[in-house]
Amino acid sequence: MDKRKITYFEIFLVVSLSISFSWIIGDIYGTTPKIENILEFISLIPSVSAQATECCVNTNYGASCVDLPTGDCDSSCNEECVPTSCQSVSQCVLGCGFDKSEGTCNPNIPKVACDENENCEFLNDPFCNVPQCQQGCCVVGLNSYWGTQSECEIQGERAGISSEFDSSVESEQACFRESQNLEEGACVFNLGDEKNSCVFTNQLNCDNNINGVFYKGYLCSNTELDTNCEKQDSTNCFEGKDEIYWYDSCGNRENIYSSDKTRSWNNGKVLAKGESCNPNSDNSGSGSCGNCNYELGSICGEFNPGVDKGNMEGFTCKDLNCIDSEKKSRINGESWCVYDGPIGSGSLLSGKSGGLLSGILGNFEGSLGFLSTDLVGSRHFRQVCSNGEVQVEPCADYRKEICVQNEKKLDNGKKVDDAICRVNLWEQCLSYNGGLGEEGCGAGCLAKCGNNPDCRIQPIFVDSDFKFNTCVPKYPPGFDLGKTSGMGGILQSFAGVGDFGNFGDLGGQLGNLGGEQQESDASQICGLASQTCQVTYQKMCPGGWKAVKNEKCESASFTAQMNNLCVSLGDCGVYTNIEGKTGFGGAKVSKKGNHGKTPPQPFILFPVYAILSKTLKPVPPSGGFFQEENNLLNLPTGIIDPFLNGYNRVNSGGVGPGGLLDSVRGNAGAIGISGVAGAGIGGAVGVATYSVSSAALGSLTVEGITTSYTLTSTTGVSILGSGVLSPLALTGIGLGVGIVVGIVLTQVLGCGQQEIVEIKFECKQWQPPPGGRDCEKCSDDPLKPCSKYRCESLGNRCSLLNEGTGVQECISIEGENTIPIITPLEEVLNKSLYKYEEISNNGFRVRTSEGECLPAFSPIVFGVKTDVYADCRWSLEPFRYENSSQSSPFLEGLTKQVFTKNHTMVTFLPSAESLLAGEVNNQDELNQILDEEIEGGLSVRQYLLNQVGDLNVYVQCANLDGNANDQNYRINFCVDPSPDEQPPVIIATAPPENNLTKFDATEQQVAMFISEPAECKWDTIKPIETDKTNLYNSLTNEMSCEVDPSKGGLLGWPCISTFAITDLENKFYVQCKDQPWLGNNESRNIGSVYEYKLYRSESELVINSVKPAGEIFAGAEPVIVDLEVKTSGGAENGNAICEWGFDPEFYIDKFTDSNGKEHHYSLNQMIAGDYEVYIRCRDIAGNIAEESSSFNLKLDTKPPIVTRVFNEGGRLILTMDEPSRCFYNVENSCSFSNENLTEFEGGNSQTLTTNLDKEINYNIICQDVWGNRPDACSIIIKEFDDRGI
Amino acid sequence: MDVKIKGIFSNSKKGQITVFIILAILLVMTILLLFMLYQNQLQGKTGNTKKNTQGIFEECINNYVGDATELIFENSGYTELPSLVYSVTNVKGYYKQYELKDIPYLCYTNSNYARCVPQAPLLINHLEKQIKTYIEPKTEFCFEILSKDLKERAYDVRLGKTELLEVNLRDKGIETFIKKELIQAKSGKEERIEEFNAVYSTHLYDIAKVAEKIVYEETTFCNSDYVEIMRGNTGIEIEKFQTGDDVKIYTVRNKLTKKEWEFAVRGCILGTPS
Repeated sequence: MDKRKITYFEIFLVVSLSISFSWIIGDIYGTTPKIENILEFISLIPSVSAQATECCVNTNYGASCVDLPTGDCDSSCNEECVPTSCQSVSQCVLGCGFDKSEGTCNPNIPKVACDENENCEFLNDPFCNVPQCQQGCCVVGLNSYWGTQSECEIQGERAGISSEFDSSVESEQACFRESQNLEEGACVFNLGDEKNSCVFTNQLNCDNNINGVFYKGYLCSNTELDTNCEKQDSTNCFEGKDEIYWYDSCGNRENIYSSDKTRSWNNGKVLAKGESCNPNSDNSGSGSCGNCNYELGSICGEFNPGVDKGNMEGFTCKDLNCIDSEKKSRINGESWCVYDGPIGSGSLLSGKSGGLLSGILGNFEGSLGFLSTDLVGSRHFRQVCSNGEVQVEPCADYRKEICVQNEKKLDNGKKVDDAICRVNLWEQCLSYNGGLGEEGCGAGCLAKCGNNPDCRIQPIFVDSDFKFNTCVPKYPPGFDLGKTSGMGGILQSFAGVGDFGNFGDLGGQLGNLGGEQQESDASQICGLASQTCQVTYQKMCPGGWKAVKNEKCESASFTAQMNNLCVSLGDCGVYTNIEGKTGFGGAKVSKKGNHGKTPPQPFILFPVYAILSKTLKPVPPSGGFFQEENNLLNLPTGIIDPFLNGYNRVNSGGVGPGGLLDSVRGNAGAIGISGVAGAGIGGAVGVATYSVSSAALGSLTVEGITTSYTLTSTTGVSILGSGVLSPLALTGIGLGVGIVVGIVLTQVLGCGQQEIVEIKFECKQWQPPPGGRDCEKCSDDPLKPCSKYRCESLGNRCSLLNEGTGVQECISIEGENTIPIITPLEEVLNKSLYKYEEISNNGFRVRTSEGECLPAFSPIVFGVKTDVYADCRWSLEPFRYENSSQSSPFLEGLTKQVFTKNHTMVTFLPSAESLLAGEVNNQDELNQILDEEIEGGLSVRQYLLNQVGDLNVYVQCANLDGNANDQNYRINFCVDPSPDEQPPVIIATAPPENNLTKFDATEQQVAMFISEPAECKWDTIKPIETDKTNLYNSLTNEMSCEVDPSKGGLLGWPCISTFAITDLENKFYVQCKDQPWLGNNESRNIGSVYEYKLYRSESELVINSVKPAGEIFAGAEPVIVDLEVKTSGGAENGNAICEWGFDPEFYIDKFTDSNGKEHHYSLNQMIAGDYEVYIRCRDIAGNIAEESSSFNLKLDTKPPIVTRVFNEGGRLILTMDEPSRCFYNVENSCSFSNENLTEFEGGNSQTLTTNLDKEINYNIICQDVWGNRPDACSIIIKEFDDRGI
Repeated sequence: MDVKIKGIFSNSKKGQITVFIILAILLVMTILLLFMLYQNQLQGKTGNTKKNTQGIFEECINNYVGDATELIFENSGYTELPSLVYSVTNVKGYYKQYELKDIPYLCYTNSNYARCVPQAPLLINHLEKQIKTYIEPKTEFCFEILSKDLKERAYDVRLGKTELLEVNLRDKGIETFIKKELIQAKSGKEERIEEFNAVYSTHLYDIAKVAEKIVYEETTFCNSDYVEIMRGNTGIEIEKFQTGDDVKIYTVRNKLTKKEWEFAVRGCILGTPS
């Protein structure tokens, strides 16, 4: 046995343990499972390591110019890969592909893709701004559409009619309107008949294609034209138009439907939409006017009784409008923006702060100012009313797109909202700062910032020497919060409050331990707002130390203004998330120096922000629509990011604005303080310490003696003081003394000395609130789908698991960061057959319930459990989790990495012999190989037996942070080494045993799943042989079986055949023979005969009754009609699912209320008329029954009539023509009120009675069950004399 | 009596001639009539054969065109899905994996800050090629069926080479045109067919044009106003879904047939600071 075969064996083991996955995949995709797919899947799991890319100009899968990882490139490329990015390859230059066969233009395609297509002409402008691609309005026959001139001509040619192109039409909408306004009329021609023929069309079509005489504005039914077309013969919709139209007897469209036929016909002339009935209404629900209007929210459609209102000869104006979440009515097609809270710029004081916060606000001395208010975790959404339903379109997350909204004026003058998601140009705002020769946002920056709708100026004016402007995003971007959540985030949060508590250095150290102190992209952006204010203190004599410059930097105003700047840069500082909560580590203030006080910490602003987030209403920004897009982005090339050009960042490729930061680094002083003395602060972004060069002039006055000092600070608080004599001191006698005194005072008492105190604001990445209590709120609103960003903003323990798998979940990962503890998963193990034993921290064994090795080809489901959410992988060799190529996922993670706590696996363990089955052709060959000797004197047979006799599956599980257990967890199996004496067993069948087939079934395809690779036969006659071999041979029909050991599935190895259904009970006898690779060898095991039964349905499924039928009455429209259907027979004695419709080809809905045999449906919008309702029922075996019922729904609007009055034993008896209730009064009045009424007994029947008093007159009024009653008395009985009755 | 007989007899020669002439005329007319009838019948038969030949071919080829169309709907524009490709970041490059489905990108760029590049430019042309590639090897099988059918009806059949196979996707359906000589002979009469045509009715064109329009707007404007597109294509409904990683998934569906085409778009992606 050579090593090659051993290797094959090893590979096979991997395969054999993977086989079960195929059926799972089959279940998922609903297709025939193929093991090859699974192998391909497993083998294609890529390495995560980053690689260089090369350009493949022509891939072998049809795409052109694709940057591929260097390692993968050759295998995916038809030609040699070019070792550069495709952007640099001449064949990959992007341009416009003009499709000569269709006449259309295709922007942004690589040159090579165009060159390879003979119908493509490459034009250099990637945006297709070339004459060939100029779009206009094309009219072909009665249709118009938006396209190029070539396209128009081609479509005309294909339709065989001439076309007309109009490039002066400005937009697609205008083109559409144009088509509505095409001047139409009657095209009259004669075919030799007595009367003229006519087609209603436009002049172009009439002249060029029909060759008739065109009568503009005439209907074909106009009597002047003497045509054979009769007016108003039918109604219908017309494709491309909104309204319901009358049609003449020739099938020509006439005017818009109106029940006022004369007005609608308009003396045979075209009646414009605006002059037709109710032109300013959508007319949905109207039963008399078919002037539907899509713009207003209706369109012509077939009338659907019970669903629609307003039947106009079988058609209706269908209501397409919506009601939004704020109960506002929205027109179909209208779109609007929805937000999570405030957006754009807003004032802290513009929210309703109320008395609660007056104390806090008082601290800020009215200087809270403006900030960019988008909440952390928030997203912009565009909602659209689309054919009666509100659809949500989330803009790109992390506020990379914003929702902008304009007002659109409809043709009828009505204004509606029109919204769209567009790119948020926030990066441009930051790049404007620190232009050439400018500090902070200087003149050049201010102009650019003011012109960019996504930017705003954030002025900082704390004191006269601490003021500057910054251009900041109006809609600050979201950051990837995942990087700050988890342990790092928590520690950083802890560190953030360090200076404020007693944790000082400890906090900092913890922060470093958290691994988040390195300069990430986000922290560098936030760092733009990390600034230091230098407060100058001077010793006064008397009076002591007093701030003489920037003293307000010690006030709350400094904190508020700086935090506003910080928040406006992105997800920075102290601010609230969409739930109004925050972590407090996003910003802090510290003081360095011996004097003064530290301003309030930013976290005290939180209540203000929290209220702001709930009270400030968002105002959707306008602008940025398609037609303005090019202006807005000023895009000369395919790069949508013009600001990148200036910063050498055209080919960013990766994620994150590294280029931006590079650019800002290159423009140190991007944000600087424009102070009197030009003290530049904090210009270098991302640098922890700031170079400060300040020249502060201090002055000291002591009773006429003025001594000036120049104080120069180069490193923050270090002070250099040197006295400089005032020239004034040189005059006068006393001056000399004064100088001396002054020097003495200065030197001895320190009067006039100055010291710098640094007030430092540190702006960091925003911190999520601690914990994970709000995680589940992420999915609260179905119109605001949960996303990674949204989830992670809700708490530092929130994490979105299994994103994009359809089972994504925002969970709290509290305690989820520990190394997973692996234990056996008991729930999935069939304990009647197997057991786990010798369970330890390092693994367990799987054995039969008797403690023996597992028989070969036994299906076994087993698994492991983890105490935390984890991703588990397995291998037959010890491995490291990080090296994913060496291992395979469990069932749950087959298609994508899924973190879960239960990890399942299904497998069959192969026999030793079967491992070589694929290598040999017959038994002799197999024996020969098995007896071969390999290294160490072992035979191949012994080697294989050793392998399957001690088989280990190694498992590693990693928690959400990717940290896996150090040691491989080991699951041990052994396969019974004895020769295979187990006969094959049928494990499962499809359809299941005893299944019912249809009443008229003649055959049934059946799949049987066998416990091991086998060949099977079947028959309908029970075999009488006693010997298994003879018995097997006596079966006449062969099944098509999977015999490859490596191609088993979850249920085993399938065998398929078609069984004949001939009777009510159909018995089939199936028998299988294992080890197909042994050919005719007698050692093959034959299983028992398996009796499989299928039953045919005993009777047809029958619909016994359908109600209503015949005439039914109601009092008023709309009428509620209850459909009732009863079924019997079929597979389950009438149990079936039924559906109904008014057309046998189209069933509208399933019966909602059904107990299997009785089915109910309520039609609640019915109007009078004839109906035929079609019913179709289907039972579990597939039997189908169809029935219909006709009914005539009539309205009873007449009051009931008294047919007879008589006395019977002192009782006054009324008989009625229909069930009624009758009332009387004795006031000789036919005016009835509740007070004077007495009701006859026997209400709602046709015979009513009351006690007879012959002395009084009875004024009687009766009403039927529909409430119809006469305006006056139904009958008056005066001076009762029963002789007359 | 004799006279009478004689008389009659004496006139019989002329009468005989007349009778013979009449009979001859009748005979000629009958022959002509029969000939004409036979001719008509023959022509009718030939016509039917022609019709059958086209009909059999059309039925067969449309079967395959139908299969190709179904696959195109199923695989979002491809009769066979391209091989899987992974990018460096362990993410599939040319499919968007969403809810356990692989949805091919119709417009894609791996780069941030860049517009997407159409993956199947000249979409109608691309679809025609897909269908052509799919049916090309199967057309011979259709001719085999046709040939077999004709042989069963006692025709001698000779088939030439396929000189041209053209597939055109049009609004009325998919037109297949094959230029190939087929000679069928029976009873010494030979008939030659040089072209075969078939039209398969489908709404693929309408759906593809809408998909093309969406891609056009995405490449130009970084977005598409799908509501407005629906307005201009009343028989179509469009759904748009934006995933957490900013990939857009569009579903274009024919309202009547419910046939739909799902595809993904990745472009104009901005970076996320982290």
